[in-house]
Amino acid sequence: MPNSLSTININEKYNLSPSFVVDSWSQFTRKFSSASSLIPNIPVGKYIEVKDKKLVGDCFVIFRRTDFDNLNMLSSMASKVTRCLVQIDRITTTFSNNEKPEQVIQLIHEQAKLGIEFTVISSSNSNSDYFGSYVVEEDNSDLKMPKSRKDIEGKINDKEKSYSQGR
Amino acid sequence: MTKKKVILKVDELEKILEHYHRSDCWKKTKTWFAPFGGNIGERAKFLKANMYTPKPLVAADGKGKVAEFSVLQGDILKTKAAITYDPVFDFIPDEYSYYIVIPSSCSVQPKKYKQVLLARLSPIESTEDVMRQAFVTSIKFENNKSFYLPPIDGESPGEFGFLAIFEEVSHIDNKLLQSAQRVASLSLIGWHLLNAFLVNHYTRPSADDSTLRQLAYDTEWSFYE
Repeated sequence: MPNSLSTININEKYNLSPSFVVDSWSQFTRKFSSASSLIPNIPVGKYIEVKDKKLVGDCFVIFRRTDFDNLNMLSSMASKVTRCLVQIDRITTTFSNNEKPEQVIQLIHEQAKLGIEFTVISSSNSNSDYFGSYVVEEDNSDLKMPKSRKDIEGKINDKEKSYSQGR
Repeated sequence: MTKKKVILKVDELEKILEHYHRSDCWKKTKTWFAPFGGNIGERAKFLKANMYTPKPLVAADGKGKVAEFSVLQGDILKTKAAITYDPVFDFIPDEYSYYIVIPSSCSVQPKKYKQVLLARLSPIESTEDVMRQAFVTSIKFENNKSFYLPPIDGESPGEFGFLAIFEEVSHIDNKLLQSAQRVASLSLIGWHLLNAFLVNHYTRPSADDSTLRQLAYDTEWSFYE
């Protein structure tokens, strides 16, 4: 399932386009062994989409620092694109074909939520002008949103609570 | 369409939240809520049923075991007296706004802190506008910048609840705090949830911090009496 929402929004607002799409995690790791090998090969503002089913179309996006700062001025986008707080001068991540992709992605997600975020490193980029960011995007297609306040109000007194899940 | 009944044991959540001071509590809490999945309405309904006490707490609720107080941690205030810097979402300073009290209950009593830290509550009036993403990520415990609070009985703003915003700074003079209108108090679950969020927001462990601050400590420390 493509990560269409983030792709569309980024494209519309910043005219970004995919550098390329890989069909699986193994294809991704064949191409990039580490974060440091990722940066020099992806043009600024381009992204990679990993279409492995387990990863649900996760994207890696490369921004120049200035681009990224501009992006963060929009709170709606800032909530979609996690901040990259650490400048690219430390190597923290190595991609491995042996690692389970969902675990790697989970790690990235957790780091993103912790505020450390996924740091993409460029050993060849000594001026540290590049930031790596990871697009955290919800798959909103199956969200069941409340339609009004009435849908939220109402109490259940049991200690054991239940709800019905439509399928 | 067949419906699958999902049963969640609230006492298990209570046990998780008892350890709100632990760094992994937020993650465990999120895991407990996982069966709700993308059912945002049901998440909100659960939180509405469990977040607040029936009315703002007073000392008499302690049945003689609690001293007099005028405000508690987690109380929801409705006031014009608070100050907010650089609001993230739309905000009209001259109108009544809602805030949640952040410091511990003992810290917010009269003559304790001069200024008291608050988080402004931004009402969620629509699930389609720019707040949608923040609403969804907050109620799914995936957003460390905002804390979801359900609608408050008797208060018309906040059709779908509120987001307590931690990307901006709000505070109030303690003297003014003592006379501010309290519209809700947090239940035990609500209070623990707030504190679990605060621990995650303010003190979540950072591997980079540890790396940066590592020193070659001596294994012993000696001095002469």
